[in-house]
Amino acid sequence: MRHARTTATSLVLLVLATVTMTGCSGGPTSSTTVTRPRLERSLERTYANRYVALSKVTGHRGVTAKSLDAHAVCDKGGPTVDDAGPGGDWICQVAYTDPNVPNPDGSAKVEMNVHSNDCYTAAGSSKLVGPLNIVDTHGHQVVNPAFEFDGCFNPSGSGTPDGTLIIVNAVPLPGAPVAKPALTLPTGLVTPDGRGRVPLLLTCGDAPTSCSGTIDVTVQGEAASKVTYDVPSGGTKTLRAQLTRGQARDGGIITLTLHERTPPPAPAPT
Amino acid sequence: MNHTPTRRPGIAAVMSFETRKLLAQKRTPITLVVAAVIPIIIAIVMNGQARPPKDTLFGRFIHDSGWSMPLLLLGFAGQWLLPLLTSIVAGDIFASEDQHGSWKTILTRSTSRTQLFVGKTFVALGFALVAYVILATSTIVASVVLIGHQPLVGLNGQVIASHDAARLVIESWASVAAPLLGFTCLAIALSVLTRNVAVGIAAPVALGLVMQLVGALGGVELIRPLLLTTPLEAWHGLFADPAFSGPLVVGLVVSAVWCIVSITIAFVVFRRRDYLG
Repeated sequence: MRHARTTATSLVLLVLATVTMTGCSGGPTSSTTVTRPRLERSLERTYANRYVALSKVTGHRGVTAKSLDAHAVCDKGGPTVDDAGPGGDWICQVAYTDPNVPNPDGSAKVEMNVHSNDCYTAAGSSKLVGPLNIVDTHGHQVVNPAFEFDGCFNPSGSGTPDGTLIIVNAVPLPGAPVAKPALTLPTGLVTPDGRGRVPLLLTCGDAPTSCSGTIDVTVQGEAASKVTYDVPSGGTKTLRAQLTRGQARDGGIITLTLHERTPPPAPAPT
Repeated sequence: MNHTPTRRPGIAAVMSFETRKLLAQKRTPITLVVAAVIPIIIAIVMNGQARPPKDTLFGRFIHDSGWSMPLLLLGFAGQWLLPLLTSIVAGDIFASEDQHGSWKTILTRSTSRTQLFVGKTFVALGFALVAYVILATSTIVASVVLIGHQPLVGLNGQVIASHDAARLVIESWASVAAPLLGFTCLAIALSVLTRNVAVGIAAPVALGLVMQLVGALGGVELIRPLLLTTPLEAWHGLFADPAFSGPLVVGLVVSAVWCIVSITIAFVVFRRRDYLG
């Protein structure tokens, strides 16, 4: 009996030692199977398939995974965190084409909770896919197939990024005054040219003279370039923003921060 | 090679004797009945739930397709049920002889220690397989009878036709046989090493839970594939589009290594130990 107790104690110690060792050996530098390209390629397929299921429920005809042509770009925990490893702080942007539901933002935000077993739970943007419970074409209440869904990806699938670039509207800091700018910035999918420059279609609204200023271009939170613009009032202009070679190759979420030189239009007299 | 025919009846005799001993114990038939009945009860309760268990894969679809319930339960069974199912016999089969002080009687019979070890090991592995087949069959049949055989939503959001889903569900349940037998070998090793029935039965379950905890941590990717609990999740790849089988192959090798190492240690200790002194 004493022998058995000693063995049991040594087993418990062995287990504790294993846990401690694994806890110490693992760090943020250890190679993870959860990478941005694997997550993006999997989400594109899963999102498209779930969106097709949603279109069937809402009676939108002719929507297929091919017609949607979904492209995804993901980011983990903002610019200060490495885009790899499991966690509930993955944010992805999915750009796709559905003529039934116009999307002025150019892409849909998807919040992801990625687990260490290479599976994830994704929550779609209710602005674009609707609430959890929706009514189908027969008038029955059903669960929205694109509101929340699960997926798993191949841990040994290709880890090479495919260079997808999506422009996303900059989110204003909480509490900052929000003035509608005179210049309208592009959103959605963009393709760089051979020299790593992406086109920016700028539209100037009701400015007294012209819209002018600078735009800070960042990719995945890292500065790319600064673009100076001067667009006549009521006109459009396409400028090119230079990306670094790595940014053009790996792709990512492009954020444009506007610094307007033009004074905003004076409020209408009351 | 003339001695081979004379050895075979030795192992067979041990197996027959051990099986009779096993069936005479109350817990053996109880375990098999529980393996058959529990999935039916769980399926009925789950089917009656208004809110599906979304935290586990396929949980959100339990009301939509009868094929999702066996997968939900497979994810759940892997957590502790499968290690427990096998260690009830495997963790006991050697240590109970210590508990009853019956080694002296057994080892003075005409069967060799090797025959005794092989016979007991085969019976433990056989029981694990029988209990597991009962559990799997009961789970799949109960789910399909209760809910139906509707198409299933896969792990890339794709719709899987019912007959494909049926094949994949059976393949998924079949894929956990390897880690299950890995746990059987581990329980045998613990049973031999500790000579303690309680440790032989409880330690594999506890080790399984610890391995799952370690596997769920971030930053342990190098160790994760080596854990015996990782192959219990390798079936996920079957439901992706395109499907992938890399984790299944790795899982098979890892389970085999755990089993061979455990059994080798157990055998060496069993052969050298002085039971008669």
